[in-house]
Amino acid sequence: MKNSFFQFLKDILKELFSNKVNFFFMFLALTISLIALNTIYSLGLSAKKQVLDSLASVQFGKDAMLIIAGGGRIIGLTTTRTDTLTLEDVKELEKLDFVKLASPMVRGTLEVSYKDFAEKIRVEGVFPNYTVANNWYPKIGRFIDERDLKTMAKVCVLGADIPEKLNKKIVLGEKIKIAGEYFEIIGVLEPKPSYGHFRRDERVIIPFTTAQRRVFNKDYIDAVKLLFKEETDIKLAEKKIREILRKRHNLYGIDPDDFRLITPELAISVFTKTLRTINMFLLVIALISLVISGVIIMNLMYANIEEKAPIIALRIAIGASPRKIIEHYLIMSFFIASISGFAGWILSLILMEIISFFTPLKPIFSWWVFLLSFSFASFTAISFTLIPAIKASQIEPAILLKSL
Amino acid sequence: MVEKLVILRGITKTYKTGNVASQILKGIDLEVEEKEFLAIMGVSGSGKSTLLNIIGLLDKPDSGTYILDGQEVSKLSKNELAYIRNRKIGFVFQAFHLVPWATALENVLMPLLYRGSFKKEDEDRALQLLTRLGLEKRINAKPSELSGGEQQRVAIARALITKPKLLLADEPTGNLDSKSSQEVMKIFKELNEEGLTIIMVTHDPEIAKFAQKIKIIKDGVFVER
Repeated sequence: MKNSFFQFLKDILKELFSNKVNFFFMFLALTISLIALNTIYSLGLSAKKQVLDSLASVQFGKDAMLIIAGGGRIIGLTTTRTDTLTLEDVKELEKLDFVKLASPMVRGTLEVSYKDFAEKIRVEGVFPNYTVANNWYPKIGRFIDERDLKTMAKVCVLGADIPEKLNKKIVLGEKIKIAGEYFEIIGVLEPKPSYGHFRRDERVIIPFTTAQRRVFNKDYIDAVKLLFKEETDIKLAEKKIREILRKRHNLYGIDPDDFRLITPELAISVFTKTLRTINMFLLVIALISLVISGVIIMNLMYANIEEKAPIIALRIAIGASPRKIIEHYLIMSFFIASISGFAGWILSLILMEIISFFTPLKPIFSWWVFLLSFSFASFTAISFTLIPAIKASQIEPAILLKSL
Repeated sequence: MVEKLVILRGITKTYKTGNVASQILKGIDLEVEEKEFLAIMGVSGSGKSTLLNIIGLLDKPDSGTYILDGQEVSKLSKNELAYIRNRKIGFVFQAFHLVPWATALENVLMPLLYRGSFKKEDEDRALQLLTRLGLEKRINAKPSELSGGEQQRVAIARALITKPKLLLADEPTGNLDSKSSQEVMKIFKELNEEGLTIIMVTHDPEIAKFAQKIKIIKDGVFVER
C-alpha cells in the first residue's frame, strides 16, 4: 500500500522533471512572488516591532502623557498660537492628585558648532527630572542638576549621536558653541532606538533656565512630559487636563485647543497606522503578483497537459479514474508549491538581511512567515491547477485509437 | 458450455463533426467466447477502431447493450468503467503508448498504480513477464532505448500484468517490421493457447491469419466474406 503511493509519487515527479523548462518557470513565477510577499510581510513585522520597542524604551509607558504647545493634528504643523503654555500651567497640573511628575521643556533648532563643524541641531532646555520622565540617563558624565538651573550654567549634555556627528572624539569638559555661546560638555546620554527620520539621539540638552533666559529668550514652554501614578485612568486624566488648560487659556465653546495631548496609545496608533497603510498597499501588490504567478502556472499546466494528452489518455485507459488524474496533477502542483514555498522563504530571509544593511529595519525571524509562504504557495498553485487538472481528467481515452 | 465473454447487441455510434453527423456503427451484433482469438478486419473508416473503443470501454455506444463477463456495462459511469478496464481488459496499441520517462519495468507496473495496493509479488510477476517476452536484460531501459518490437513486447507485458480476461489489440504490428510482427503474433498465439481471449483489429490479412476467427466490418456492419 505504502509502496504503491511511493510509486505513484515517483511517476508524478518523473513526469514533472521530464519537462524541466516548464517546471522551472512554474517554480520561478511562484518563488518570485513569494519572496515579495514574505519580505513585505516581514518588513511590516519588523517595522512595527521597532516602533513598539522604541516607544517602550522611552518608557512612554502606560502612565504618561506629553503635552505639546500649539493645537492641530497629532503630527504636522500647528494651527494655533504656540506661546500660551507656561510654567504656571505646569504648576497647576502638578496639583492634580494623579500627576506624579511633570517635566517641562523649551526647545528649538539651533546652530551647534565645534571647531570647524557646525550643524543645526535640536536643543532642549530641561529640568533635572527629565531623566526620570523619559527614562533616559547619561551614559558618561552627569546630567543637569539644580545648581546648574540656579546659576543658569552654560553646560550641556549631548545625545549619543552628537559626538560622532561633530566628527571628533569630544571629551567631557570641552566646550561646544550653541547659538554663539560656549557650553561645557558635562555628559553624554545613552543611545536610544530611533524610528524613521526622527533621530532621537541627535539632540543637545541644556538647563531650562539657561535655555529660557540666555538662548531662546521666551516666557512660555514648548512641551511638558507628565508621569501619572499607577492605575490612573488615562481617558479621565486627559479630560481633566484638557479642561484645566482650556480654562487657563481662555478657550471656550468651539475654540480649538492650543495644545496637543499625546498619550501612549495615540503615539502607537499614529505610528502604526501609517505603517499599516503602506504595508497593506504593498501586500496587495504582492498578492496581485501571486495571482499573476497563479495564472502563469495555470497556463504552463495547460501546456503540459496538452503535451501529455496521449499519456493521460493511456493512464485512463489502463484504469486511472478521473479522480486519480486530478490527484496526479494536484500532487504535482503541491510539490511545486512546496519547493517554491521553501525557496521563497529562504530567499526572503536573505533579502531581509540585505535590506537591513541599507535601512534601519532589522531582520526578524518568524515562523509565521514560513507558514505564510507555504500556505500561499500551496493555495495559489493548487487552486490554479484545479481547472487544468479537471480538464486532464476529462480527456477521452478513445483518442488512443484515433491513429487509424 | 462455453461462456460468452463479450456480447454486443445492436450497437450504434454516431460522431458529429460540426453539423455533419456520420453514423459509424449501424447496429453491431457480436459474441466472443472465452478463449477465442478473433480478428476484426476492415478498411480505413469502416468503424473497426470505434468498435474496439466500445469493446474496450474507452467509449460508450449511443444505443444497444454490451455485456462483458456477465455484466451490463454500457450505462456505467467513468469511474466504474476505469475500474473494469483496470481489472478485466488489457490493451496493446499500434503506437505502443509507453510512458517515455518510465523504465520498461515501471511501464509494466503502471496499471497497478491505479489499484489500491501494490505488492512485492506484483513486481516479481512483472519481471517474469518481461523475462518470458525476452526482455530480461532491458528492464531498466527507457522506451527510447528500445526497438519497436521490444517496445511492443513491453506494452504486452503491461497489458498482462493485471491478469485480464480480455486482450484488445489495435493494429499491434502496424508500426513493426515483418520479423518483429511475426514475433508479436507468436506471443499472441501462445497467450491465446494458454486461455486468454484476444480481440485484434487489423487490416493485414497475413496478421489476421494468426486468429481462429476473422470477421470483416464494412460501413459499420459485419459482412460475410
